[in-house]
Parts: sequence; C-alpha cells; structure tokens
Amino acid sequence: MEPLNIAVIIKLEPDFSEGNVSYNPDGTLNRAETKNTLGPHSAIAAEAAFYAKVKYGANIFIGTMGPPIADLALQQAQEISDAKELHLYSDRAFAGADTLGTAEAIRAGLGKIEENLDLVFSGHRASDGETGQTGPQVAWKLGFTFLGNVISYDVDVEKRTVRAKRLVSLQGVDVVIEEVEAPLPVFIAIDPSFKSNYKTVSERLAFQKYKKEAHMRAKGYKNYLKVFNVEQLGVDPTLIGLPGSPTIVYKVERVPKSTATRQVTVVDGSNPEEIKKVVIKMREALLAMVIK
Amino acid sequence: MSEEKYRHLYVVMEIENGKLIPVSLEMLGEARRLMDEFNKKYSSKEKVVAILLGDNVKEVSKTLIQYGADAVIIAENPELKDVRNTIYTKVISQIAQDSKLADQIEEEYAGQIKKPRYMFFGADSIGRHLSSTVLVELDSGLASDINQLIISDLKITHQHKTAGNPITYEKTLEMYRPDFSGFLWTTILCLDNKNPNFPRDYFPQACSLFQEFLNQ
Repeated sequence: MEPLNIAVIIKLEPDFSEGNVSYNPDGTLNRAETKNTLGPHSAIAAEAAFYAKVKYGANIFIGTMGPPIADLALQQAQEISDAKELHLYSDRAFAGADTLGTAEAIRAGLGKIEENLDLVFSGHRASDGETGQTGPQVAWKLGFTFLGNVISYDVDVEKRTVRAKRLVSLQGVDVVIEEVEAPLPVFIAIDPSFKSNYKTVSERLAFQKYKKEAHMRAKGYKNYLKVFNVEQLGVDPTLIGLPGSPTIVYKVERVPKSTATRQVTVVDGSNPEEIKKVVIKMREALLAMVIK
Repeated sequence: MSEEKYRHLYVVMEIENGKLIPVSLEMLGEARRLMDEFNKKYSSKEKVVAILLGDNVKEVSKTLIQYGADAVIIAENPELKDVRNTIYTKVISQIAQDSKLADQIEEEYAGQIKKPRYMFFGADSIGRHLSSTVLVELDSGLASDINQLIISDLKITHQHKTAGNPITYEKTLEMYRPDFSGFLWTTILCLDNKNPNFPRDYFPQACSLFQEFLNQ
C-alpha cells in the first residue's frame, strides 16, 4: 500500500500575539517593527497534516511563497508536522501578487514535489490578508476537489477517499455540520476549530515518536529546505506577481467613526459629596428605566 | 468598441432548504440600486441577473424578480441539490460565459457578450469558496468581505497596469473592505492590464458581500 503524500501550504505573517505587534501613531500596523511568524491558521493546517502522518504514516511536504526569511515559517511548520521536505518559492517577480497570482506560483511550486499528491492542506485564511481565497484558488488550479471549513477528517487508505466534517455557516441561517466524502486527491482548507484526536495507544506512541523526529528535523531544517525561483519553477512570468494580478489596492483609509451619543463627566472619587451626587444620578437613571 | 464584450451584473443566489438566504436577497437589492444608478449615469440598459442552482427551485424566481432582478438564470438538477464546490463552480462558470443566455437577456448585443461585467457572491461558507474557484475559472479578480460598493470612472497611474501612465478606467467597481487591523478600510479594484507588453482583460470584476452591508 502506497503511503499518502501530503502537502501543506503555509504563510509567514506578522506576529499579532501580545507584545509583538507594533503600531504607528495613527493606529496602523508598523510592518517594519512587527515580528514575523508562521501564521496561526497555517500552524493548524500543519497540525492537520501531522494527524495523517500519525494515523497513516504519510509523507509531508511544506510549501510557501515568500521572501528568503519565510524559511522561518517553514521551520516552525516542520516542528509541528514532521515534514520531510520544505519548499520555498522565492523571487522578486512574485512580489505584489494578489490571490490569483499567488495561487499560480503555489500551483507551480507544488508541481515540484516528485510524488503524486493525495491531499493538500491550507489554513482558513491569512491573518494579514484575510481573504481566504488562495486555498480554494490553488485547489482549482490543481484540479483537486476542494473542501473548506473542515473541522475533522479521516482517510480510507484502501478506497482512496476522504471523509470530512465541514462547518457551514451562512449569513442569517443556523450553522450546520456537513459530512462529506470525496475521492482523492482532495484539497482541504482547515477550519480554526480543527482538533487532532488520537484515540488508540498505537496512535499516541506514533505521535510521540514523530514529535521527537519533527523536533530533530526542525533543528537542522536547512537540510530539508529547497528554494525555487521563477525560472526553476518554470512558471509563466505574466501569470504571477504584479502582471498576473487582476486586482490592486487602490486606497487605504481609516474606517469612519460613528459620532458618540454618550457623554462623560469626571468625578473626584475621594470626595464623599461627589460620590453622593453619583448615587443620586444612578437612582434617577434606574427609576427612569422602571416600567410603571 | 470592446465595450459590449462585458455587460450586466450577475448575482449568485444561495438557497437553504428551499428558502433563499437573507444575504442573497439583500445582494439583489444592492445590485438593483447600483445598476439603476449605472444605467442613469451611462445612459445604458445593463441588467441585474440572478443565478440560482438547485433541485426544484424554479418557484422562487418570482421572488428574485420582486427583489430586483431583471432576469433569472436557473440550473435545476437533482445533482445540484446540495452545494458541492466542483460541480457548482463548473455550472456557474459555464453560465457566466454562455453567450446564448446573454443573447436572451439583451437581444441588442446578441453574439457579442463574453462575460458579465460584474459578479456578486455572498461572503459566507459557500460564497467565499465558490467565488474563489469561479474566478480562477473565469480568470479574473475577486475581493472578499466587501461592505460598500461604488461605480465610477477612475484615473489610474500604476507601475504595472498602466506602465506608469495615467489612464482612465471607466465603470470601475470600487470594492471597500474592512482590513485586518479593524482601523482601516481598503478599496480593491479589478483592472485590465493596459500595459502594452502584455495587455489582458479582467472581467467580471467580482466580490463577495457581507450582510451588514445594508444595515449601514
């Protein structure tokens, strides 16, 4: 039986965790000062791939498009997933791409994995772009069945099918969980609420073993790293970067604030007379609320 | 004139247990408002076209007209009962590029229409992913989670799109989305490449819409 071959696409993103974010005086993100890290949704995608490694002994490959420092995100994702190869698609020509131009670069990049892929994972959305478009767009370019908002999945390795639970939330309608089955190859955009669940002793032992292996590999991650530029990927330069992007960001402005309807009075808390006034005010306000 | 290759606003409906979901109807209202203004401003007669996929869904077409659609395109088949991305993407993409359907919507431009000018989807678990895959198939641009829309003529100078020269893009859809920080509002445009080195048309200009949209 052939082992499953699984790819995870990830993204290096600004670190929005406490203490790592830096803002400009006008409240916008200071990108130069803010640290970068593996995106939180990318981390969940790596965890979802690791689940298949533990359960089915899968081979894991990780790909990302980004600047040379994006190897940091690859290393972090290897620590989570015990990937055997890390692929970085890095070229000035990729810069400025929207989701369509990015999807084309990643499609070409995934083609550099020598094995035939059975499953590809992506995060729900990036925390800096928040479009959630790149995953499904890569899926469509690969010709894989796309399953989004997946909260749990299992593979029937004999039948080569995936069974997955999806969270479907529609605006103005109750959220439902949908169970679907699809033949491999499948592209899964993993939902933030995904949790790995290892039930048997053998799964837990495998978990421990691969976690150790992942830690060792991530320490020497450069041994697993391959970097590809546009030429090496053999991608059409008019389909990537700025030329391959239909959309542009035309302007960025502050969200207009609604005008405040409430008023503030500052009270000196050390003065009992002032406090009495507050209590009287509160009584009045509460009485006004009583339905007579 | 290349003008007639891209006309109309196509709006993709979502139906759940035989009922149109609220955001679908609200999108139609917004589409009606936009195209009424558009037709007045440009002395044109472009239409709001609702697209609906499903099984036994024909009876809601009257509702779609009542909520603002000029025309309704329905694809009915038991296979379309549940939303599955692959088959839905194929059917919607085919509808968007079907010139015979476009001929029925507006005979005046029979044989000319290649794709819709604009396209709307709901910004939910179905519409976000569906819009992504459909727009790959149609090879055009998409913006998601939009909460304000304006159509205008914009003078653009862009390093790549216009090779650094000022060019006026007519009838451009300005798509506003709240950005990740919560402080910012970003305007996305989907623009043709007018760079002489590799010119390319990008239609439809597409987006997924938030329900909060009309509550503002």
